[in-house]
Amino acid sequence: MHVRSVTSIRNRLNSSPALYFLIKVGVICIIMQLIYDFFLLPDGRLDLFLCESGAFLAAQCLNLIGWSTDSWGRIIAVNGYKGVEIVNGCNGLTLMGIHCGFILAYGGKTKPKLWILFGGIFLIYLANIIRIMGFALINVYLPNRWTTFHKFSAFIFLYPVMLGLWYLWTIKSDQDDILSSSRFSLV
Amino acid sequence: MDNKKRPRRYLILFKVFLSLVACSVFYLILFRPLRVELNTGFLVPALISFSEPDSDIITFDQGSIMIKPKGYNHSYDFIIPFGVFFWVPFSIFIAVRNKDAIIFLCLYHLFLSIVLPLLAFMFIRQVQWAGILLSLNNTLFHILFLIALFIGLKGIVEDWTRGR
Repeated sequence: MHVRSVTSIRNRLNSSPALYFLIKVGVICIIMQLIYDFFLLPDGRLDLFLCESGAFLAAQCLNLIGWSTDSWGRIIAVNGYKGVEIVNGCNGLTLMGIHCGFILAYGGKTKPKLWILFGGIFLIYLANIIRIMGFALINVYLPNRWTTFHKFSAFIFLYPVMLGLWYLWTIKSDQDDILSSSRFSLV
Repeated sequence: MDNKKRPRRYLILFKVFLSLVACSVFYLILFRPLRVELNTGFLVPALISFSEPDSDIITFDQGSIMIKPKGYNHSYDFIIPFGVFFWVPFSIFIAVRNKDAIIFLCLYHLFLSIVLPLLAFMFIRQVQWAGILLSLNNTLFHILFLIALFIGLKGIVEDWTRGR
């Protein structure tokens, strides 16, 4: 009875690769979330590094292109205007984890997969620096719109980068295109 | 390139635009006020009535509910279903006519509409694993939104390439 039900679940998953993929992504992300909750969050160093280095590099980039900007730890401010604190939720770590979950679950050869995995993490980190620059500048030019900008900033700076990388991987990975819109089916 | 295909390529972009506008209008005029009213008038007061006086912090902004029970260092929040994270992929799926994905998305958000308030009530009642599940849900919610968006956008690219 038990063997039969396991076989039936296996057959079901084989006949629906999209569902199998979604389950794999879910499991990988749950494992990573638990690692974060129980080890990385209490330790705090990874979050702190991403926040402080993001604020520092964003300030340097803004200085380079003509805005006099300073950073103090997690805080960044264009001189003379309100500062922005980069909290843990805004350091890009969640999206880096989601990116890893997607790439690991999708399959493909190991070497190019590692390239897209780590290259993607680096690109998301860079995109987040541009986003932090945006946070500082929005305080200068549209301070009343800061909350709206903060809410939708990931749609502008982070999601396009990540979805672009996923698209690249689904094309280049030599796998069946299970996420093709015309073939997507969960039944 | 087949000249007849060129205008048909733009048809998918027009459909997406139309679908996004229609869904935005529907959401902003009808659905969003209803959603805010349901949450501020029913769900949040119900959660507050279950919490211990002067101990738990329950705050609501237009998209999510945050709970910080007494003795916890950080808050647990959950995004209320049928918000932007539903309507953006939904409107794209309508444009690319992906029926399976539409059904999946609707069922998933309906499921969350029932389960998330239950988990929130349990968490307020000091059931600790409910907090962990709320936290895990945030990650899964986010990734399913991005995968849904990805499938929808891929559908647009496929339609564009085919010149359908």
